[in-house]
Amino acid sequence: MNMKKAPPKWRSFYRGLVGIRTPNLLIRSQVLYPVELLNHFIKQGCKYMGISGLSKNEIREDFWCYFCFLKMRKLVLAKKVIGLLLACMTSMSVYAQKFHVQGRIADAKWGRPIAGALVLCEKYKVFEFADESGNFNLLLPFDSIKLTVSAAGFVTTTEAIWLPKNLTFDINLKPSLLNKTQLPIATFVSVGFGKKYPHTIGYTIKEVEKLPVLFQPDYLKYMQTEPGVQKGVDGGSMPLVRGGNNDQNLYLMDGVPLYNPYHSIVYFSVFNKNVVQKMTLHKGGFQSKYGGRLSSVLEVTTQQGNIKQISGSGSLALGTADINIDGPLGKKVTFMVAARRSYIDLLLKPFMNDTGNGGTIRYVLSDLNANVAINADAKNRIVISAYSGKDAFYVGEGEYQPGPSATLKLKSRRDDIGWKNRVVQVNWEHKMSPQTTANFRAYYTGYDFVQSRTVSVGPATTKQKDSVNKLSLFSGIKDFAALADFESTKNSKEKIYFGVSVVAHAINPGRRNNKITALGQVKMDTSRGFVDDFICPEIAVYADWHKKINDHQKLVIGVRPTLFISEGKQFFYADPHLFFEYITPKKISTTFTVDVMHQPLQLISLNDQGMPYEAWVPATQTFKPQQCIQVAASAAKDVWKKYTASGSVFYKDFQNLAMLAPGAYTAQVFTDWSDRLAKGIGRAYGLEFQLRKNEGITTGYLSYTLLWSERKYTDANLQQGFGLWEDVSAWFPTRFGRRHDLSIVMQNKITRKGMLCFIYTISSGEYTNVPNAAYRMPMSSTILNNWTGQTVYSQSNRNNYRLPLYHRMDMSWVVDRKSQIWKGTTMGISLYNMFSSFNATGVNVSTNPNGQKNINYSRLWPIIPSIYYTFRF
Amino acid sequence: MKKYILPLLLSIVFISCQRGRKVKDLPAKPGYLVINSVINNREPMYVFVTTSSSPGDTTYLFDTTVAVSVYENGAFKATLPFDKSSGGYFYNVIPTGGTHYKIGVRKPGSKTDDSWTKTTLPKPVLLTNVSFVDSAIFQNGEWISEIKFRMTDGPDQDKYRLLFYGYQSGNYIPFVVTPIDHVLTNNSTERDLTAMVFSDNLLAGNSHEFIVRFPSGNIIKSGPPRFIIEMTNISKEYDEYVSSLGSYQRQARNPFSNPVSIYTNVYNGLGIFAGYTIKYDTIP
Repeated sequence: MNMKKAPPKWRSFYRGLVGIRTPNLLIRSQVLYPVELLNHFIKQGCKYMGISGLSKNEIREDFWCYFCFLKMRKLVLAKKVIGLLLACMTSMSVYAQKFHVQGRIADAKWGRPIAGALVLCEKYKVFEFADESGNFNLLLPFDSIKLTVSAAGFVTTTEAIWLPKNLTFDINLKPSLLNKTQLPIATFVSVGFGKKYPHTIGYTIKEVEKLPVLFQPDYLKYMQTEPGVQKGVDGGSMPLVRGGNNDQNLYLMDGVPLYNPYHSIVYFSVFNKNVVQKMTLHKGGFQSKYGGRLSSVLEVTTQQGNIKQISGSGSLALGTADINIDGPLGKKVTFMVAARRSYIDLLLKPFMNDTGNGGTIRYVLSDLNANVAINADAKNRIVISAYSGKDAFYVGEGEYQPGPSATLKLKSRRDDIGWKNRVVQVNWEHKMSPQTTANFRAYYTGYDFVQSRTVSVGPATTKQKDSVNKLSLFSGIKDFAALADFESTKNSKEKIYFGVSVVAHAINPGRRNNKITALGQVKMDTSRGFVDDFICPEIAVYADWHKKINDHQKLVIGVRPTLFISEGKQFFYADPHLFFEYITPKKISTTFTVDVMHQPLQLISLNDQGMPYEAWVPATQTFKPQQCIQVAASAAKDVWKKYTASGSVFYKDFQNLAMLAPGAYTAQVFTDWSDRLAKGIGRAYGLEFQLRKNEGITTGYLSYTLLWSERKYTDANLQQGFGLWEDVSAWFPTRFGRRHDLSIVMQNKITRKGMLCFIYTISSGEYTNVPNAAYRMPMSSTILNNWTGQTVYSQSNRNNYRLPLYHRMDMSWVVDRKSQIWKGTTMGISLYNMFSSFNATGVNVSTNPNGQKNINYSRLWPIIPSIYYTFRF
Repeated sequence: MKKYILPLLLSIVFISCQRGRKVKDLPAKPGYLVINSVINNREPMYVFVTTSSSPGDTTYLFDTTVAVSVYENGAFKATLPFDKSSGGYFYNVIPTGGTHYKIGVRKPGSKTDDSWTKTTLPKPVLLTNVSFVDSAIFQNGEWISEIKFRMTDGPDQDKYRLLFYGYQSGNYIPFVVTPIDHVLTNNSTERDLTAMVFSDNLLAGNSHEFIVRFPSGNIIKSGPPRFIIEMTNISKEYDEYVSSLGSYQRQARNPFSNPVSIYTNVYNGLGIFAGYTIKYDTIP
């Protein structure tokens, strides 16, 4: 008898009894009914139980047979007893088994993988986040299961499955367009048992452009409104996390570090909004997979091509334009290419004069992202990705008009300053077994900074240039790396992540190169400083053990031992991590984390605001790898139905800091860079709070950070000598360590297609340096300097003056429209600092010609209107 | 017309950034004693004393009311008189290398020194085996001359300054040389037109032979070649002071830089008290 042809009434009966609809995800032949039903029927009465004489495999194949009434009548009692025992044994063995539910989550419209999508089983409190390729893997018991799949920007889907064995299937999520019940900027990515981890902030990105912008959308700026993340210089993109410095953030683009993720000094990030799919900032509770930075890990996942058709989008913002195209290349291969470029130079080109009397100013920023994804089969996937971004600024002085004199004359002069990032990565994802997946990667990442001056000289009477002299200052860092990451699911309560990484850092802290090309003579090329790169190998292994103790407690323990070699000296250190979560009976999710991080590379910066006069340098025998121990506790709870409240307290202890010495200057960094540093320690502590409204026509959040962030010189050589004597060894605040920082982000869906958004920020002013005293230099001229009789300023310690209160209101009005030409368009109008608040960024001390003293505040940004237009095709 | 458009655009964007707002509560602490004295082994000592003022003030008067005392190797030597012509307190003694000096400054009415500073003048270096070879080699179409000498690094030394003078037309004039040995080529941190400043990192307290070369044609020979080698032994305090002063000068021209403090070794005050010792050797 073909049991699959059982009367439909029994199916209906059965479904009604269980109360679960027939799963739409599974192939019918795979459907089995859960063991609870078997037990239920056993308890209800053996008279309904029958043995069909089916084999164990047949029972597994289709449990319908047990409830086939006609069949049961034909059975003898002995068979019933044997069958009953067999059924019980089978069900018990099946019940004890765990099955892997794995698959890929993709955009239903385009077929692109959705990284970071959440797959949650409420019943067993098991969840998983899709990786960069949209893959997930859950281990669940034999049961009827409801899986909730959600991702910001997509409609949440709940799917019911019955789990007979390991399952593999895909889930497609429909995009949501300004759904009034969904917060456009989404929200915490990490969810613990349905609650939030306040130490992690996530954006899944597409709707972020609805928020007010300064010239163009920038996700790093929006992150500065989150608790624990503070802004650097006004209008800049740099996020400063829990009192850390800029170089203590690990910026990862698809897992590859970027050493300077900024354009236009620090005013834009390199992350093109059309490319980024997900961005997650970890402030604590770090995975052992990541190391090398003290304060935070920012993971940026770029979008991959869709498998269905060629599509793309473009946008025009104030100052930049970008376009991206993606689509399939055959049945298994997708591609994505995106480019962004500033266009101010093109607009100003007619007004520049390269050849006559007059100057030329040119500035260009550009980004190029590309990736190709090859879905070889269900177990193998290869992604090749690349990124190139650069900033180039030059000021040129054209040739002088020919004159009567035959003497040599300056013909042209050009000053260049620029920096660039380059990334290439090959990533092979391989499912070794249902329990284990592997990810093998090899990448190159490089950052270069170049400043140069080129001068040409020739006879004044002709256009001829007799000699060209180019003086260049260079610094940079390159990484060549090979990594292997593994994820192993032991059972539904235990998971292990482990891996190894080998990185060769090639660092050039500073090199000066002088090239002289003289007409008819030998070219001269002299280099000074680090002519060769400084090679520093770094080898690390890591393991994270995730243990779900029970429905209320979860424990993660990890460690990352690392060997870093610099100047022939070996530094061995381990970064242990502890994460513990406890859900209280009142459903408050509480966490406790301890993280120890080491940082063997650091940035020597001319200041703390991220100017490109910077050089990466390794740990040395004098300056050991920097260390930070962070202890944090947090709590989060859903309140008043539509709100989520969360808070954290933290303490960070910094050791082995290498800070710029008080008398040092770093516009040029050469072999003596270590002489410009001084040892120090630091501490940062405070609390964070956020109240977030996730649903309704008006959504948004309120964030508050209370922070103390301080540093101190401990170098014995500096106990005297710089500044006023008594203050050199005192604690001083970090420049952007704002004591109070409050942000309110609000989004209102005013019309069906239009949205009005506000950001209001009020915070303590940043610190700056103000001289305490003025005095004159020695009057007599001596060797080594002739700067006699000049007035100089002295100050007691660094960052000794807090600027006035900072507050700013931004507004945006964004409208989505359909177009006859494009599939969709978005028009946004923004006002940055709409009340033109005077937010001071510095203090200027000057004396006018009449001898009167002027001491004024200065600021960067008044009200700045911006407009942008995005089209999709 | 075109050339006005760019400044106009920039002005529109940044016009309000120039708008200042008066600062009311600067943490100024005027009134520190400022002691400045740079000594060497060829001139008598002058000590200049002023008082610091608030930032932006431009009036600095020499303080003539304080009492300035000099100590040598811990022993009181003199209270210095004020010299109106120089504006400083004058000590009519030429400092000697290896001597420890201390200056104390006492305001009127004080029983002890309000500010003090100290330094040790470096001992002069000893140059030996000084030699000159005229037209020693022929290179790139011209004859090259060579000067060699040997020097022993002192135990507490850090920086040296080397300068060569050539005799021309009745005067000794500084001239440029090309260093050959690795100490000068790899360890020279600063160089002005003629002088080389190098650290003793590669000397490590040892004796070393220096070799420099220069085109023979650079020296106008009105008789036998005559040279002076000037080797200056710079104290650590003076080196710190000069390098921080250089940094201060550079940052003053850079609006993006954090401020740089100038090195001071004056307790409860500002300024510098340091020195250097000059040693000359002649050829022949």
